[in-house]
Amino acid sequence: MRPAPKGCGAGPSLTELAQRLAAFLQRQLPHAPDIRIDGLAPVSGGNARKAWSFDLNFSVDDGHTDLPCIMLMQAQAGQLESDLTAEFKVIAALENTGVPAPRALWIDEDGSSLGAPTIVMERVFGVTDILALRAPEPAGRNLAVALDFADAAAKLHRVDLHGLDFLDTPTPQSAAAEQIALWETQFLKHRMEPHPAIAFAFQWLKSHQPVAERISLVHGDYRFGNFLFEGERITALLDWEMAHLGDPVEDIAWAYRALWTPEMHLPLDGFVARYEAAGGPNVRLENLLFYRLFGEVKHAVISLTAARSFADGRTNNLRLADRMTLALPCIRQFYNWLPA
Amino acid sequence: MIRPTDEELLAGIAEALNNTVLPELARGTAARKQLQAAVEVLRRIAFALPDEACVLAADNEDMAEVIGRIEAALSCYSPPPNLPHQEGRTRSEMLPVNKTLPLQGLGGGDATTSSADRNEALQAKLTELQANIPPDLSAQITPLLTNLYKRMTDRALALIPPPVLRTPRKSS
Repeated sequence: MRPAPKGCGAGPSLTELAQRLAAFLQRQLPHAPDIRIDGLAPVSGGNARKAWSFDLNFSVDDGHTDLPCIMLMQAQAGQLESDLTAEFKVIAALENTGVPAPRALWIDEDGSSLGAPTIVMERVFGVTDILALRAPEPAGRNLAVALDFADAAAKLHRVDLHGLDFLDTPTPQSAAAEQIALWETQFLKHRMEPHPAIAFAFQWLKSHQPVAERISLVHGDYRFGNFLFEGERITALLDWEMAHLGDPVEDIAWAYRALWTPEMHLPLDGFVARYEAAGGPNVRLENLLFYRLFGEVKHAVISLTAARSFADGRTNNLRLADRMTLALPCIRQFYNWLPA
Repeated sequence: MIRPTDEELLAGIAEALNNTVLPELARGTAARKQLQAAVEVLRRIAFALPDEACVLAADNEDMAEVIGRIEAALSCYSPPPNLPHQEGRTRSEMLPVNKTLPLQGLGGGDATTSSADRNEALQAKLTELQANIPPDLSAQITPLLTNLYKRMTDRALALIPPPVLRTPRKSS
């Protein structure tokens, strides 16, 4: 029998959550005696966390502030084992870098105030509509967004790393090994059967590690669907839970996975040309192939992690129940691309 | 009693939930998303059920055959002398055998081992073998493994129904 998920039920009511949030924010803003929360409502936060939108109103001294906010709360279990604290610090470090990202505001690191680890960010305007971006029309708008996506990657991968010393810092020689080790550990921890095809893929990756051109801040889930856009411009890159220091080519390879590729509007060659022209590091083709293969294995592991969390009863999210079926195209793609 | 079959029942339940319960749930709600996911899982299982046993059997035969070929290659193999990474190791140390595996069932026909148990044992045996391939046999054995994994993945993919196409929301 499946055990009942721990803490995965309905959670606090919206009223209770609003009270907890108000008390939490009051502690963050001790000089604002009249904070008010309006319009607290759940919004889509992906499978790894729950999200709410709200407007925060408060006055300090003579000034009144209306601040649109998004609150992300750690889900009990899902497809990732993520660290909200690191994510919060990464987003905070991106302020004033030119990388389109939401502004990090506050964190309830241990969940003692809000019931689970939670971060609050400024709400950025725009939509995430991946289906619209991958539709044939409007082709001009979709191409423009894809080009802006290349520009944003170039900016991200040139970010000064000095403010990011809380992240593990690989060398160009060890960047691939660190990611392989991270995901192989997840694989070994969460697999429910031996999966020799995936085990073999890890063996291959370990024996074909490329050297990175440079070490950059890597988003880790850089793809269509993980940013807000308005018109032809990206207003914010979202979902930083897999951010790390590593080979910047990893993000480009991930962006062109079949599930979310912008290929129909901007072929990979065109993306790379735009990225390099915008100041992105040189893209080595052997690194690109390696990380395309790595990306398939990583996504397979994400899928089996999701399936395991449901099978173990750590989540009630039925979208995760059958996620192993999504691992199959990844495995097949890996073997399609594997050099003879 | 053989009708309705399990796949007919599951497909019917999925259809009924989709037609009668789903429209009662407001768009965007967690309940609606949960039901949509449940319907998709039911449809997938209903689609796979008729061929699942055949695919498992085919995988088992395929894995057993490849394991046999790898073991034959290994049995003819003599490690070259003075390979630095192999010095001091016997061949049995390079190819450790997991004694917990039901090895007797790997060749097929063992009625006491279910297809799923045999499948898992074969997977474990492959995982163990491929982790210990001597480098100078890699060119011979690697294609056996990669082609096997392509065939197995293709068979598994054939059990997944084509996705139901979604239409984009109107862009703002």
